Amino acid sequence: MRPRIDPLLAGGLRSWLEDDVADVALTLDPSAPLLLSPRTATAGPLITVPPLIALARSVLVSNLVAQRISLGEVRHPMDDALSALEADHFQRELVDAIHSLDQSAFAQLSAEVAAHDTVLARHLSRVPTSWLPRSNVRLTAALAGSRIVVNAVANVALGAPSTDFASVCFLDVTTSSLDDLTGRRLGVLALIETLRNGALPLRVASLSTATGDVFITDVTDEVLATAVADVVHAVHQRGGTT
Amino acid sequence: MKFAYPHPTLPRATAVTDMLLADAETPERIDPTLRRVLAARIVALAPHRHAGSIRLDSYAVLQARRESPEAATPFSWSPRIARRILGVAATQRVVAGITSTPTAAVRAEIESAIARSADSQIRPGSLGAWLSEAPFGVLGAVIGEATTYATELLTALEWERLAGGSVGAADPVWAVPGAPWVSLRGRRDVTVPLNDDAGTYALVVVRSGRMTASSHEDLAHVALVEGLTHPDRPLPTRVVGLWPASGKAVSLEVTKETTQSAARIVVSAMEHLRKNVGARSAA
Repeated sequence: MRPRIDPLLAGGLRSWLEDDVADVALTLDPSAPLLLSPRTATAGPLITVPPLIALARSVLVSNLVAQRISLGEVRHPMDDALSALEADHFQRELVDAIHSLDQSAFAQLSAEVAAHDTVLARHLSRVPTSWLPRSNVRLTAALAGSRIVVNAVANVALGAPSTDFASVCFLDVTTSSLDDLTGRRLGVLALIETLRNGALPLRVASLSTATGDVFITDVTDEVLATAVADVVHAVHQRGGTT
Repeated sequence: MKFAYPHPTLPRATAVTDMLLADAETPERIDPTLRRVLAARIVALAPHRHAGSIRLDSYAVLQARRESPEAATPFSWSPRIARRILGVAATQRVVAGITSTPTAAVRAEIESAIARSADSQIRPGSLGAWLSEAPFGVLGAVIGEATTYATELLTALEWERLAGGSVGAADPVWAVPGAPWVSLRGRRDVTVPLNDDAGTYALVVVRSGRMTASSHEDLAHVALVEGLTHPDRPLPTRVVGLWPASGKAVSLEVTKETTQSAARIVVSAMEHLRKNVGARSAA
């Protein structure tokens, strides 16, 4: 049963957030906002920067997700993903770094990308176009006069915007394993969607292409309340240090 | 400047469409003096034509006025650059009932662009030429980006209420009289007639990211270029900006002051450009 949309929910969540981050927001400059993501909003103050290979693998696999959604197939995982990356003007440094890998490192990366794509192929069947599949959907919610901005990129979104009933679903694909924070990261994603579109999404999910594990959760008031608490906590934790 | 915001109710598309179609007074036409003076100022400030052509859309104007503008890079196609052209064309296909879904419409647009590129009339650097040679993975990225763009535009408005609206028409470009290598371009995605008798209409622009402090200048620039390229009809009644990523929408209600303000910003951008080109020449 799909939950009925409460038209006052988004405004209530925003008020709650704005009230609880107001003291920190006063110290921030809108021209240099505090930027948060589902990852930074749910992690501790220190986040390790992934090594180049892990970053490259993640971006390449993201390209394959988009390709499977838009074309329904991948012919040569590494070739397809790398050609899409090369066409992205914002990824030139990463492309250069990949091309500068030695032969064995490049071969290993190619093999890993192919292995992750095998998992994608198993889990991402052809999505009917009537479900309005979108890939690499960028979501953003600005708080406190744009002093705090929470951003996310969802690998896949499905469904038309919610009106009477929740109807949008998001899938996040990760090349890491799922962990205890997966559900909370998805909660923050759901919170951003609720704030930006005024209606909560129906369901959020995460697929690990490392293990094939899937985590799915319906978006409830509890999920959103936890996400609000996570964002407020992260703002207080990072607000004075960014 | 005067702004309007959609009523914070659901569905959002209804509220945005209400705002788009709201009654308003018929705006004036663009002031011919403003047109003349703006052209004269641009001619006086324009770098020499040997420095290359200058196309000033909202982004270029805002970039030029920054303290440290990003270095210009040669144009090349990418999925992100192609998404708007393909996305609005796909939206048109769906609105017209030619295709039922955005994904199918984008695929049809790509096929059409590639077919046109086979025609010798099409220049080699065209979108169709690029797509015809694009690897499979790039095509996947292009379809993904354009489908997302089209879906967001299609779901942002109630199209059945926008009779006579046009999506994806070429952006108006005003080549400056006296310095035709400088042109102003208004990037807008949808034109909606409001009152046929009065000749009034509204524009919709889709932008990425979120609204910023300079977003109103972007919308005003679109209104200015519309007025410059159509001096014989009223200014657009309003320019509605949509930021799908942040779910925001705002309507700039166009007045004479809107175009005056936008013209001042263009002149300021030209002053910065002249300074930068001069600095590059000296270096």
